[in-house]
Formats: sequence, structure tokens, C-alpha cells
Amino acid sequence: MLRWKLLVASAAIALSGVMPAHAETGVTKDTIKIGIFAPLTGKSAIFGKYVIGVQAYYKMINDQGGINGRKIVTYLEDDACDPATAVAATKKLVAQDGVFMLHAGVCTASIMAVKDDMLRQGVPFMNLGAAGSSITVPTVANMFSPLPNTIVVGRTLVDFAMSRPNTKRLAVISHPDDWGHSQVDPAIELLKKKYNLDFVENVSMERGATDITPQILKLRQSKPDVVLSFLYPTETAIFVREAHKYGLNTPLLACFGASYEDTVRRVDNAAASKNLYVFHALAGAANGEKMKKWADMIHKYGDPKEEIENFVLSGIGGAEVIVEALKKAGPDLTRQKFIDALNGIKDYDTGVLSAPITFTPEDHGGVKSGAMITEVDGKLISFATWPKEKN
Amino acid sequence: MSRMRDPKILIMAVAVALLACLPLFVNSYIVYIAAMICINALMALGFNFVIGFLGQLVFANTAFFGVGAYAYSILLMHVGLPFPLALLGACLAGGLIGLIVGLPALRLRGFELAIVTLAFNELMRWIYLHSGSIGGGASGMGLRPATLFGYELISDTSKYLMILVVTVIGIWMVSNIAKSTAGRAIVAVGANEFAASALSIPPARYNILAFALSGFFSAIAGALFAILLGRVAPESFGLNQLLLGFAMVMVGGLGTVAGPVLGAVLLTAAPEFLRSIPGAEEILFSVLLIGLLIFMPSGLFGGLAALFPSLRERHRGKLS
Amino acid sequence: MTVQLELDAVSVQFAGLKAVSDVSFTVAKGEICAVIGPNGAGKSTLFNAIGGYVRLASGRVLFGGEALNGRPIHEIAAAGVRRTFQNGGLFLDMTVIENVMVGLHQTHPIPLVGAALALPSARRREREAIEKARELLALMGIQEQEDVLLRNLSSGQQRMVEIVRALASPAKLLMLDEPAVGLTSLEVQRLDGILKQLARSGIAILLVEHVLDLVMSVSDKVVVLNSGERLAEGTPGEIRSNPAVLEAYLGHS
Repeated sequence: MLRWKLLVASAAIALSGVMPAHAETGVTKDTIKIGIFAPLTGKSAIFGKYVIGVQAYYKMINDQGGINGRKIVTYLEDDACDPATAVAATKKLVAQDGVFMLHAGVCTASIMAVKDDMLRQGVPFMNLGAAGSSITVPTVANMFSPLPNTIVVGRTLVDFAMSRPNTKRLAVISHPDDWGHSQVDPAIELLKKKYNLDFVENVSMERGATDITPQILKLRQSKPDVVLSFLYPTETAIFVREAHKYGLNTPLLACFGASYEDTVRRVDNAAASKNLYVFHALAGAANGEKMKKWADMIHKYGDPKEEIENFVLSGIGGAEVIVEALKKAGPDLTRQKFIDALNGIKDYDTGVLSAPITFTPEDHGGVKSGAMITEVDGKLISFATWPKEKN
Repeated sequence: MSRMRDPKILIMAVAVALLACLPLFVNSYIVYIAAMICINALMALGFNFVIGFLGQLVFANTAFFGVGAYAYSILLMHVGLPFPLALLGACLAGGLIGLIVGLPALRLRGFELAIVTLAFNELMRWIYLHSGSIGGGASGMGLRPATLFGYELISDTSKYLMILVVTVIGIWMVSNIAKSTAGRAIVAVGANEFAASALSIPPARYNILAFALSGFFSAIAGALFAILLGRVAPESFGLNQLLLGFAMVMVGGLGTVAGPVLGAVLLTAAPEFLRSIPGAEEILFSVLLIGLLIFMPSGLFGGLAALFPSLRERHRGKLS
Repeated sequence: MTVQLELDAVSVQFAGLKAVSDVSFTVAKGEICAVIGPNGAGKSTLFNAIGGYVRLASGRVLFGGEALNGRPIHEIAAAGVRRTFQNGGLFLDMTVIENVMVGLHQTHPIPLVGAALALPSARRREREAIEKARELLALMGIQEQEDVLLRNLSSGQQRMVEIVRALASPAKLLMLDEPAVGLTSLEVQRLDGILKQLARSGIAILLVEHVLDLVMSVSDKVVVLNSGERLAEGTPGEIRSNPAVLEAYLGHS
């Protein structure tokens, strides 16, 4: 009898050592594990820069004492913007590294590839930088996005173009893939429903194409007032350059895929980029005053020589609401409490995004508007509607 | 009876049993990688029929792989076939496409054949991208889980076990074919078409057969890939996948059965180990490929077989 | 003696040049016929024409009374025409027995699906093929090397394997393209004996050869080609003392 009691007692002692004080995955007495995946290699590696601002922010929060006594530990994996790689990365983060939540994904396809599995396992997922609307539409319990999605981008470009005086003829160029369609289709819909107009010309450009003379000529022929472009960075630059070359001198509105500074640098022709406007999710220009405190944060907690431009800043908003929700969820942290806390975030001004973030249980698309950034007298300024300064 | 006591078969059986127990010892990430290795092994073996046994430089392997994935997906989701039939349909579709590609391949050789099959690969990708509501277009399509004997294969472990079984059967079949009349004929035609013809072997028939078999086995791998990921999307069937398949066969050992499997293990596992060092995978890849092509053109398995002649694969049944 | 092979005014053209011009002769069952001539005389082209490797410009090739020209190589082979090659005809990366088993393709076919699934019937047929291959190797006395890669054998041994392979399925005509090349004199003797043995069993043999000792020893009939034309035909003795033949060889040396 005594032997049995000893056996049970020692088993209990052993088990109590083995069992963590908190049963929630990814949470220990003094850490919270956050998994991140982004394209660090491959043709979309430029978008990997979203990670920089996010990592710096988490470091800053840790430096300030953490959250309810816990410091954030991040685990970073490369998904190379490939769904299969994203699946492997996610499995590693969740099954091997045991993260509490994911703040991840810049390519929508990668996120869609892991979405079902994350839902099944109840892992909270905050979009890092992807623009696909299918992430939060339809709403799913664990998926959140703190950035304007492609529907918002498409509509913003149309509204902005139409806010220009005497504008009736809009033309559009886009990639014929899902990413392109997901912006062009809402744009077409809004143009029709709100303004009762159609695009006077709608051309497409394949990713990786370098010669778009036929498309430029078609656009020019349609005599547009404004041209909207929904292209990736490289292709945006090619378009801006070629448009200028062939005398397509209308204002050019570019979407979320490109950053203004990056595009201007690639185009390398001041006259060509004179009329360029780029969708801007941030509160101000990357090198402007509003972003200075974030620039300082990145230089302090990251690489002091880091060049501050859109991509490095755009993920910070998401990191802010994550930290806010972690704080609100309290010391007894579980995934469900965290998700509940996120659902309570209302009109949260991140100080980095142009619009506040709101999550409700029915709608996890946190940001519903954006601005357009352009150069005025040598300074980059973002505008919600057409600036009077530019005709 | 003597087959049972053959040490090689015993070793294989033990290895497979151990592999089946893998989920008991490791987390689901490792199980997922193991499933990927199986899939890549089948894909590499499929590819090997044409570039290894037949000895022609062809880049259609990923196209066959993709056909298998999409055929499975369409049969499962749109035609509503149960998983085993959808899988069978996928391999037959692959075999058929292989046959179709094999026909014009009769007239082309060398450089031209390589370029044309590369173009075919891109054509298939274009088709996937523009597959609209049938194939899901650019964003692909999600798949419902495969159901086996009423049990839904959702967890990584259940998918892995099914994939392991199919892969073992597939490797066994490929090995059998390599040791059969058809296998010998394909290798003969690949080695010297005129000499093979002189022995009354019709070269066209075995050329096409090699392509059809390549399509068949690559398609099985593609279907399993779709099942593992739970979705198909055009991104997965591009140039990267093609080069990976090529590298697996070359690194592992062209024209053997063990070679492509070895290459699949190495080139699936290594990138995962090197995950934490972005860019290391690409360097490894290039170094390995170039190094082997210079120093060990017959691949790792070829090098092993040179050291241990008893490992060398035969194109015949057992000599009693 | 019944005629097995008949060439009737056979001509072969390459880019306007007549490589073989109006050549006629016959080879009977069990007869050994050698084709000799200086380099470039058109011997190999003639071989290739018979085997279906090149097209005839004019004339006919009759095999057992039936026309061969225009048919694909493998069909001609299936009809019973077998050959060895000057070089490159061997599957060097296969073993001896595997090479012979390729030769059994015609007589020991094994259905693909049965083989893939290792069905008992397929396994039995494979065993039968292996048995047969071993029998054939034993006839030539090279059975000990059945599992050796062909690449690792001497030229002479490789040639033996090639002949075994060519005869694995029933042949009515065996064409040998310079079989003595690279053989030691001992091996040439052996070849001599094997050819005579084969002829005795009723196979018609046609060989192209430069090693004149072998030609003189083994042949029943010799055909001399020069510049694509048939210069002379006769027994080895007749040919040896034919002045036109001597001149053709001396003139070209």
C-alpha cells in the first residue's frame, strides 16, 4: 500500500514539474511567443521589409517592460511568397516552436494556404502586410487584418481620381492575376455604382513583362484624364517610365504594390514621376515628420542605417494592436481572451496608419480607407482627396 | 521463400515500419516534411523515366505534376468523385498527358526538345492561371479532405500515413518496371535507339511509354501534393518546382530508382534545416548541383554504387 | 540451297552521290558470305540498306522472298534479320545477362501491368527469360560473367555478348559489321568456330570484314565492292587471285 502511495506521489511531483504553469501554447511565465513569416528570399523579398518595423516595435515594448510581466519573443521564417513554403514555415512555427499567435504573411496566397489549418488549431492570426480581401472576407474567428485590403485600395484610387476637378475619363492597367483583379473589380464596381461611369480603357500587363508599348498606346488612344495602375513595384516603374516615353502625360495613380520612393528611384526620371500618386496607408510620408518617431524607433531597436520607407513602417500598426490586445487580455493569457480583446479594439489610432483600426466580431478588416501620396514642392505629402496644388 | 530471407527486403520492411511510426516521435512539422519527402520522391521517380531511363533532356515533369494536382482537385471538387477514384483519375490523366507530350517528342531531340517541354510547362501554368471557376484561377482552389474508409484525412499524421503507403507502393512499382521487359526496352532505346531497333524493339513505342509512365507517376505525386496542402494554386508549379525536380534526380543519381529517392530526401530536408539562414538554401542548391555535375556526374547514389558494387541496380529479376 | 537474302540491283544515294550502285547477290540459308572492299567502298552502307537504316534509291532487298525495303528497322529485325555493329551497338551500362535479355524482347515479352504489380505470371516469365539468357550465354561459354557490366569486359568478350544478344531471338540472317575489330587472334579463332557452327544450324551469315584471314577461312562466298559497285564475286580462292580485286586494294592503299 505504501509503495503505491509513494508511486502516485512521485508521479504527481514529476508531472507538476513537467506541466507548465500556464496551459496555453506559446505563453510562459515571462514570454509570449509570436511567429512571423514573410518573403525573405525570392522575387517578393522586397516585401520582407515589413518585418523590420514590427521587430523593432516588439523590441521597444520589451525594453519598456513587456506586457503584464512578459517579454515578446519572435520566431521568424521565410515563406518566399510560396504557399507550400508558407505551410512548412507555419507548421514549424506552430508545431515545433510552439508560438502563441502568428503575425505573418505578405503574400495573400501564403496566408490562404495556412488559413484553414490555423482556424482548426485556433491560432490567432494577424495579417502582416498582405492586401488580399479573402483574408478577412468572409469573417473568420482567428484571422485579422490591420491594413487596407485590395477592395479598399481599388475604391480609394477611384474616389481620389474622381475628386480631381473635371475628371470623367478614367483608364486602368493591371496584372491579370487574382491580386490585380481583386483591386480592379471593386474599382470598376465603385466607378459604376457611385459615379455611373466605366473605365474608358482597361489593359493588362503580365508580371515580369518589360515591353508594354501596345498597352501604353492603347491607353493613350483612349484619351484618359487619369490612369490608375494596379501593378507590382518593378512593373509600376516600367509603366511610369514607358508612359512618359510615349507621351502618356496624365496623372498616374499607383496602388499598394509600390511605394512612392521606391518607384521614383527605379524610374530614375524626375519628369516621368512628376505626375505620380501612390496609395499610401501611412499617416504621412515615410521620411516626413509624422513618421519620425517610428524612424527613430527603428534606428534604435533595429539597424541604425535602415532606410525608412513604406514597407518597413507598414507592419507597425498591426504590432500595436497586438500589444494592445495582449495587455487588455490580462496576465491570465489565453488565445481566446486575446481574440476577444482584439474584437474590442475600436478607433485605435496607431499613429502610423492613415486611418484608425477597428475590429468587431463581425468584421476583422481593421482599416477601411487610405490616402494618396505625391510630391509637392519637393516634399512628399499624403492627401485624402485631390490636392489643389496639383492642377 | 528465398525472397523473404533476402536481407534487402527485410531492411526495407523495417525502414517502412519505422517511417510509419514517425508521428509517434516527432511533431507535426516534421511529419509534414516527411510527407513532402515522399511526394518529392515520387515526382523525382516520375521525372527519372524520361531523363534517366530514356536519357532525354525534358522539362515537362512539373507539368505532369501539376496535371495530377489539378486533375485530382477537379475530380474531387467538381465531379464529386471519392478520394481513391479521384486519385486514380489523376494518375490516368497524367499518363495521358505524358503520352500526348511524348508524341511530338519523337521528332525532337536535345536542345529543341528541352525548350519545347519548357514551353509546355509554361503553357500549363497559363492554363492554371486562366482556369477560372474550374481550376480557381490565380488564387487556386481549396480542397475538402480526402476520406478513406469513412475516416477524414485532416491531421498531418493521417495524411502522412496515406501518402507513405501510396509512395511505398509507387516506388515498388517503379522498381518492378525498371526490372521488366518494358524497363529494359526503355533503357535500351535511350542508350542506343538503332541497337534497340535491331533487336526488334520499336523505339517510338517505348519513347512514348517512358513519357506516359513519367506522367503517370508524376501525377500521383501531384495529387498527393494537393491532398497534403489542401489546395492547389498555380504558384506551386512553376520554374522553382521544375528545377527542384531536376536537381533531385541529378543529385540523387540519374537512371536509378534509389537515386531520385535519395535526391528527394536530401533536397527536401536540407532546405528545412537551413530555414533559419535565408539564402543558404539557394547556395547549397547551386554548390551541390555544380559540384556533383563536375565530380560525381552519376549523382550521390552513383557514387555509392561505385564504392559498393552490390548496391548497383539491376534491370532484371533475381538471379537465383 | 534455298536463298535467304537476295539483293536485286540495290542502289543507295547520299546527297546525289551513289554510295551503293546497282549491287546484286544472294546469301543462302547456312551460307557465310563476306563483303570486302577498300575503305569507302560502300560496305557499311549496304548493311544499313539491308537493315532498313537507310533508304534504297532503287532496287529491292528480298528476305525469304519478301521485300524488305521501306519497312522500319524493328520490323525487319522482327522478321529475322539480326546484326552487330562496328561500335556503339552495346548497352555498356547494362550487365551481360541484361544485354541478352534485351535480345529476348521479341520472344519473351512480359506485359507492363503484370510486371509493375509483380504478378506471379510476370515473375514466372521473367524467371524464364533469365533461364533462357543463361542457356544462351552457356552456349557461348561466357555464363560466368552474367552479372558483369559490359563496360568492364574486353572488346572480344563484348563482341561475344553482342552476338549472343543478336541471336537470342530466332534469327534467319545474321549480319556482322567488322566483328574481328579489336579481337585477339585467339578470339578471332573462336569467332571463326562460332560462325561456322551457326551456319551449320541454318542461319545465313553476312559479314563485312577487313581481317582477310578470317574472311578467307570462314566464308563460303566473297563479294567485293569498290566505289559502290560489285567488282567481283566468288569463292575465297577465286577472289584471292582475281587481278581486278588486287588492283582495287593496291590502288587504294
